[in-house]
Amino acid sequence: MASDPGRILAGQKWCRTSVSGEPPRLDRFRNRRRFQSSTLNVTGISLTAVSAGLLACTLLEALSSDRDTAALFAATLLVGATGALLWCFTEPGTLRMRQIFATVGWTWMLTTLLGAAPYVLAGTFAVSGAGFVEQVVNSVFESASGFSCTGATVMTDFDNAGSGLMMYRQLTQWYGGMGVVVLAVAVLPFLGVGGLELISAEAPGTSSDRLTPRVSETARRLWVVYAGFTVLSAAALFAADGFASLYDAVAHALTAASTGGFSPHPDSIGHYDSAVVETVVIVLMILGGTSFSLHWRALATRGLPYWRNSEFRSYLFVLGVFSLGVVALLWLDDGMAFVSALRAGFFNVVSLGTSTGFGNAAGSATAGDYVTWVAGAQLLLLFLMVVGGCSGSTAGGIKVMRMRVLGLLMVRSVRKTQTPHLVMPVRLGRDVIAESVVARVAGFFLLHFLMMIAGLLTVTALGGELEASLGAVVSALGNMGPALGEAGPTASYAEAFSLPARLVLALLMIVGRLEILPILLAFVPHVYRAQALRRVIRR
Amino acid sequence: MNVIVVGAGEVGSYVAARLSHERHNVSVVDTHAGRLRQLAGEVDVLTVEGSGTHPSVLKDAGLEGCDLVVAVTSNDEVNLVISLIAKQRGVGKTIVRIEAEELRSRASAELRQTFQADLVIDPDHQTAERILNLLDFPGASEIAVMAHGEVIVIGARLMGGAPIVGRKLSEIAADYEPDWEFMVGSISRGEDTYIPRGDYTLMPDDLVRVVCERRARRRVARLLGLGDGSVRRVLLLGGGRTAEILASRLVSRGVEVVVVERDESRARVLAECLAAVQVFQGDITDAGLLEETGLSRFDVVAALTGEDEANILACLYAKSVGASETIAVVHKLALLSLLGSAGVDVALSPRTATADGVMRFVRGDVAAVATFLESDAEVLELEVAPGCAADGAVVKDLNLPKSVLIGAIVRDGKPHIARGRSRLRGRDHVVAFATPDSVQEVRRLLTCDG
Repeated sequence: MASDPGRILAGQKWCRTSVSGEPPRLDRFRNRRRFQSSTLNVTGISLTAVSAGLLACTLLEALSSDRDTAALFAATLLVGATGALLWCFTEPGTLRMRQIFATVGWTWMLTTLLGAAPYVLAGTFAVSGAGFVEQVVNSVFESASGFSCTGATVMTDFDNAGSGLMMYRQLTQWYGGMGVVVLAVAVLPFLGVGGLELISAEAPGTSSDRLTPRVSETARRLWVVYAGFTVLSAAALFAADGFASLYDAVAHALTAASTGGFSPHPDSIGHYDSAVVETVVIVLMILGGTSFSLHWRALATRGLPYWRNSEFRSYLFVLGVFSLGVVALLWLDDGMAFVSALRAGFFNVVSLGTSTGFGNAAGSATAGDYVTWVAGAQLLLLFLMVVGGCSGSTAGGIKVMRMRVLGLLMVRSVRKTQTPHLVMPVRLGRDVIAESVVARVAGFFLLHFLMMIAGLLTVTALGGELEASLGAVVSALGNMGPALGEAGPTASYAEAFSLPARLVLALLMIVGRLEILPILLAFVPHVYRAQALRRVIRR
Repeated sequence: MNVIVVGAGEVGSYVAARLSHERHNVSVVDTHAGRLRQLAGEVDVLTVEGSGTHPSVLKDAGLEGCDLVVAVTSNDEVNLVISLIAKQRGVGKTIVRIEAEELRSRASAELRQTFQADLVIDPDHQTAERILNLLDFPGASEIAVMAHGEVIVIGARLMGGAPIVGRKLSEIAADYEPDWEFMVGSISRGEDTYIPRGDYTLMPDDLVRVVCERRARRRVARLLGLGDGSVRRVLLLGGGRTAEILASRLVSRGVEVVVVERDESRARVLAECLAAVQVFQGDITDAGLLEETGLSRFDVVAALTGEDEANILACLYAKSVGASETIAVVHKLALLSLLGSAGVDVALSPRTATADGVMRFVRGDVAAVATFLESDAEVLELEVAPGCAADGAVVKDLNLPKSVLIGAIVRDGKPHIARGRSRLRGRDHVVAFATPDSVQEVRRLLTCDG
């Protein structure tokens, strides 16, 4: 049957007309007019989404402090217009595996660059005689730290920005938490085929499981869960705060759900100076560091699938053990009072373990500034930064699941020397991890480690002090926020790092958020050459 | 009875041969001409080449007027379809071989109903079941569980030190008057098998089969000189389906299980689906590999591969380094006579395990059949038909042939060891030892059939 050429031709014709619903010629004409680029198309959608948030912030600014209203409005127009133009005048080509990563990488970099516009236009960083270049660099750093959910800041003067702009800063983290590409896939049903790969290129972790047969539906559900979680977080914070400030509650909910860690206050959660709020924030951070597919299942089945998930169990175990370790060190070694050791230890361990980066060092709890802790406790925090949260969550880092796989790989290599014929699959709970995935995890770990070394070398070469640089590089790659030394939870990165070092760190944040490969592949030339070649062949 | 057997593999051929020996009309269908030619040369059956799912092929095999279709190809789906076709053409009964756990489960009962399979069999399950029974009595060479577990037949080779060696059966019986809990049902000495009388003296190296009530099984095991230590660690050589079923059952009993499998991908599959089991990949006759598993620490070593020679070799090696019990699956029945003296404690064949199930079904009223590998005697479980010669008769007045022994009577679920003076009643279940040539006679007397 397949050898009948007439039938094949007829089939093709039928296909074309049925897809477009129009005669073939018109269809071809429409194809010509649009520029084929998945990168620009997806970037367009993400910018349009960001501009919607910007518009809301502009309104907020106009109604409250009315200080950066004009700048925010201009930024809304700029970002919105760029987004709309890109969205309307490009169309996504067929996505091949290797382009997918590059597409996600470029989308993030472009969104980050344009997302810096509001800061530049509002002159947020025009303090104490900073030049234009420094302003732009700082804006890009802040934008990268926002979209990558890192939470490191170069702001020194938090009063030099209106409440609307500060809300925009919170909002960038919220967008970045679930991912702008996931958002794009949710919007675009026709991205269905390459969509899952797009999501998995962006979403942290090794697996992105389909919750529904359609990828766009899956993406939509993840965003619904995420949005719902954020609303509940805001309500919880508002209540815990004694219903004092709705603005603060919303601002912190946006960055707690996304495990980002930005705060409109320089002293972060310490601003509340309340153990109740800190407890609520701890719970929110832990939930934010949990897989969102798991949250969806909990909602869909009205059950609690958490405890059955082995990664979630080890995640809690890691947080628990590190908390106890840190509290013990603070209490016994540092001579802190037990209660304040408990409060400072637990909060900071969860904050860094979930890659959020909130601080609680203010008011009565100055103990929360971990830069002043004993070296052992700080080192524990540094290890924790490397681990990160659960796969499929908004948290960064290497991820608990990968760490477990690596641990099992280690155990296996030891046992294999004793009993070389033993067959030992790597097992997480009941699930067996395929050897190809195990190899990828090992490769990812090496890549992560290499990035860390390269980043550390670059940042120290650009004038960074060792302790701060080490902390900052680990923190940027793992999307935590605060680092060690001069770049601790109460300090700003502006004092610790030179301008080029800040740019490197900004890049590392995006690299860390996308788990390295998308950015790496965005700069590999043959990805495009092959694409161009294919276009030529198609003609 | 007219029977069609589809699938002339190991199980199909053996079932066909057994049925043919019992004077049923058997035709065998298979797609493989060579297998059929070989079978036709050994057994008196009609062979038809072709697929059993094709009605024309089945017609050639005599589907019209057929009473039973046995579908034992290696493909579950094919077997089910054959059952459906047969039932549509008015065949009375079908026996279907199903391997997939999913299809065997209770959840799929409705599906099996749709295909109208009357009996579902699976050689691997039956073999695994037999080995599990054996593990309850370490040292025994055969175990048959009858009458829903109320009566157990233990077969064992007597060692010199066993308490009952050197004694006459009548003496032993006298020790346990008035209530016997067990009875020696048959004795194999050398090549011959006897249904014993009271004047037999038990000798070392005799293979005896003892029928006993469930509650007395431990006492009997001690009398036979069997160890009663429970099994803690088991090494399974060969990772086929039997091993898989066995391993998961053993693990659920808390036994430590190690499996050795030669095929790399199969070994991996096993390691993945049996979480609590250690799987080694390699050849089971590789001494270095066996040492690596810690061979001498196992209570039982069972070799279950498809290669008889490898199974036997591995068992011999295990025995030589001190494994306390070895079990070998042996497919070629001719090899069996070599094994007892060579150091393999137990040999069993998947085909007899399956065939017993089929034979029980074919004989209809027979509730259970057990065949023992190294002898001709069969153990039957029969239900006494009301109004038959045996109903209301005393055992010794029944005029049973010399080659038949009634071992136990189960009335209302309660087992009793049969005595000469025991009276049989309708609906009693009787466990009897018989040589194949006297099976028909026993059935005639007890069930008015045959």
